[in-house]
Amino acid sequence: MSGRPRGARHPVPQKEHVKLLEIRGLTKTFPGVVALENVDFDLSAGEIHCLVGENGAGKSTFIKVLSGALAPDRGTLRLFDAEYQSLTPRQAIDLGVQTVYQESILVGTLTIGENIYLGHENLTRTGFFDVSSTMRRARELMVSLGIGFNPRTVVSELSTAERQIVGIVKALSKDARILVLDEPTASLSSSEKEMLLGLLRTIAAHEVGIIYISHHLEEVFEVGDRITVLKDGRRVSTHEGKTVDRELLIREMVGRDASLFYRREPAEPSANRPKNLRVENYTRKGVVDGITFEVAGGEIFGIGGMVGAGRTELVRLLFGLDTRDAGRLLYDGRDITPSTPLHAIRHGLCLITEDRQKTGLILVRSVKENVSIARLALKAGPFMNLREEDGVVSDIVRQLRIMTPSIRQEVVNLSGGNQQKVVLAKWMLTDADIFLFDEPTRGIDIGSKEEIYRLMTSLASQGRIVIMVSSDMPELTSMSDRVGIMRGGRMVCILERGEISEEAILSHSIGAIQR
Amino acid sequence: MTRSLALRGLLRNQTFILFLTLVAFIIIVSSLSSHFLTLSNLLNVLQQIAVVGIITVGMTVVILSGGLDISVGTVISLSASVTAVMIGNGASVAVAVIAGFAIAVVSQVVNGVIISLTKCIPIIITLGTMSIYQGFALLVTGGYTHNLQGAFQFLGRSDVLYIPVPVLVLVAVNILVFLLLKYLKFGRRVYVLGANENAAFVSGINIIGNKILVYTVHGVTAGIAAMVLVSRVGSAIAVMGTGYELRSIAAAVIGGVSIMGGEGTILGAFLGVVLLGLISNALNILNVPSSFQNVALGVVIVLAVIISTMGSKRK
Repeated sequence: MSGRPRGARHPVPQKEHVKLLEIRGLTKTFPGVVALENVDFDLSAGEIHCLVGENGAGKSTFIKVLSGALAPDRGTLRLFDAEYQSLTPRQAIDLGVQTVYQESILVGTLTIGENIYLGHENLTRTGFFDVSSTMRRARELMVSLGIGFNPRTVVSELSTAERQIVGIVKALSKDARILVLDEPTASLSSSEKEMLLGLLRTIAAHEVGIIYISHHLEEVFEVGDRITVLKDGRRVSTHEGKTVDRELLIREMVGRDASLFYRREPAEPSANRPKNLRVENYTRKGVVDGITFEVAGGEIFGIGGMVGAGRTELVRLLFGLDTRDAGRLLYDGRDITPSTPLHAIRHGLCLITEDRQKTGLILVRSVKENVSIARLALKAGPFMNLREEDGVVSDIVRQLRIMTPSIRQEVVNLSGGNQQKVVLAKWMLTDADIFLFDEPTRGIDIGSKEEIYRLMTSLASQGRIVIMVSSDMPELTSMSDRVGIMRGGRMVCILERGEISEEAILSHSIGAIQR
Repeated sequence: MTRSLALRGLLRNQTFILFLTLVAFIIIVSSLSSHFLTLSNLLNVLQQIAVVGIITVGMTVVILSGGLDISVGTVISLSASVTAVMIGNGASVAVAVIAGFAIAVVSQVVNGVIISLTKCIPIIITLGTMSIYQGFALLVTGGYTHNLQGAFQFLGRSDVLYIPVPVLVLVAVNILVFLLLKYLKFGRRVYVLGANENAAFVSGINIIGNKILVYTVHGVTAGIAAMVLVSRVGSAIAVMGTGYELRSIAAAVIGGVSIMGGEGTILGAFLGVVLLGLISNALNILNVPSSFQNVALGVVIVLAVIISTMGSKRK
């Protein structure tokens, strides 16, 4: 985009604007991760300040601190000339900090007007809900923002974009002075985006400060007065929106000291002829669109892309968890397209899901039961051999060094890393040939991470197929032999070994480079 | 350190708490009445709890798998009515018993099929089928009492080696299902389904088939219970099973079976049944009016749920 002169955008603040927010030295750590480290940030009235960074750069944590959902470990928040160590959600709202999330929280069965004033309704003198004044106020508010919706329209009839806009109006109805938008355009078409961005400028002109978070650099360049880059929880830089160099911005979003990271030992070529996996035209309408690629045995194939690009959906389809509209899966030329997970497991597939607590583990049951579950699904006959089971499970627990006092311990009591190893143990006992990893090291400690990387490497070196979805850049770049990039449900390109870099992955993921 | 941990583990173990409660209860009541702790009274209690105890075994399997069934009372009514009406009309006892038993199994399979295929909430589905089975029971009996006229006494009214047959059946069903849960793949799946259905599905478990199987087991135990009941009472009316659904759910929950599914044991549920039986027996012996007995039962259920929630790992 953008042959357009920057000066033609909304008027750059001329007069001295009120400083709404000043954050100093904000730090928040979670067990094993520093989510935010010494972050400074400020926002003036009438300003649109964009926040950019990779998945996991700390943007979400930042919003949560600001909206009162999380208390920071250190740092101060200066809001409208008062200083706070932390906020409660109630406080944040009372102070006029309103957050609009990707999925706006509206009640579908109520009208626009009712939704806008939900929770702070206009009442008549007798204490009943005052419909006419609610509708009048809703209309006035929307008109002041240049929105022509009928406040009596029921929300379920609105498009996603329209709902998003109602969500923003709702936030503003509570006298918002700071509006925080988290990926508001993720599911919008380009004309809808334009409409939304226009609305943001109008709102800013009303002396509201806007914090705008987006993966889409195009939008950021278009509306941002200032742009702050976060990386690994730290603030890298803050630029004036007009003058920033796009290449520089991308470099700042990535770039990391690679020496800190696990180095994969070069794979030795397997003696056996490697078997190939061919994914052919996998499609699920509105989610994943005509995905085709091939992975050789012994190879680790990474899948990169932004959150919401369809990566998790793709591996779920490959495993037969969701129903596909089209697609075939060929292993060594044989059609093994699974339609249920059981079918998939029988054909040697396995899926290490993104959310191990919800879909990977039976938390309240023992390590033994968890490790055994898929193996038992493959066994014929109604009986279990408990003695054999104890042996098999103990062996794999020892082999993977799962730290547990006993195989009878409930999985809920193990650490994240050990839990993930339990999931892996489960699949290793099915003798799977094709390993689908979805965010294999999310939320686990460094030590376990390394062990899981070593395991993945050894799986590959045994000639197995490893496909790994990851949002962790260093993981993706250092573990993968090739990386397929997904954007908007499609695989937009496949980076060969020499081409893999954080910059390349990021720019293809956000569509900054047209091939 | 380890010892205190082990102690805490024991105190978290609801079966153990229940066992302590039972012992304390027996000591207190037997100090109040000399009629309580006698062999004949205890056998009497076991005989009284036999029917609800057998139902509770199936109910426990259902709850463990993440389900619930409030239609079981009317299933018992229907099943017993069919048998009694057939015997009254001159059918052979064997045929009548098989028919009554089969009706119970089929009713529960229907529950299982609807619940597993539609993925609707079990309590609502079985609320509907409860009414259906009650209607059938009324149709079958025509609203009258049907007498067995002395036929089919073995299951409910006879002894083997001085032990009443219902008690033997109760013990046998408990042991059988205990073994089934421990040694069959199906048993493992019952727990897994109840604890995390999504993870179970990802791990290759056939959700629908196993759920239907769960309700089939429940149907088998309900059928056995209905036969014991009709044999013991010697007649059938269309509402004879009413109330068993709540008492069996209560017994399972008191016995430490998590109402969320996935946690609990057959032994615990059995102790729950025994505790309920002992309480009502003790209150009878101590001449407490039956309205107070209801209050006492309610208090025990509420306490059991509070204790089990406090001990839950899923908070």
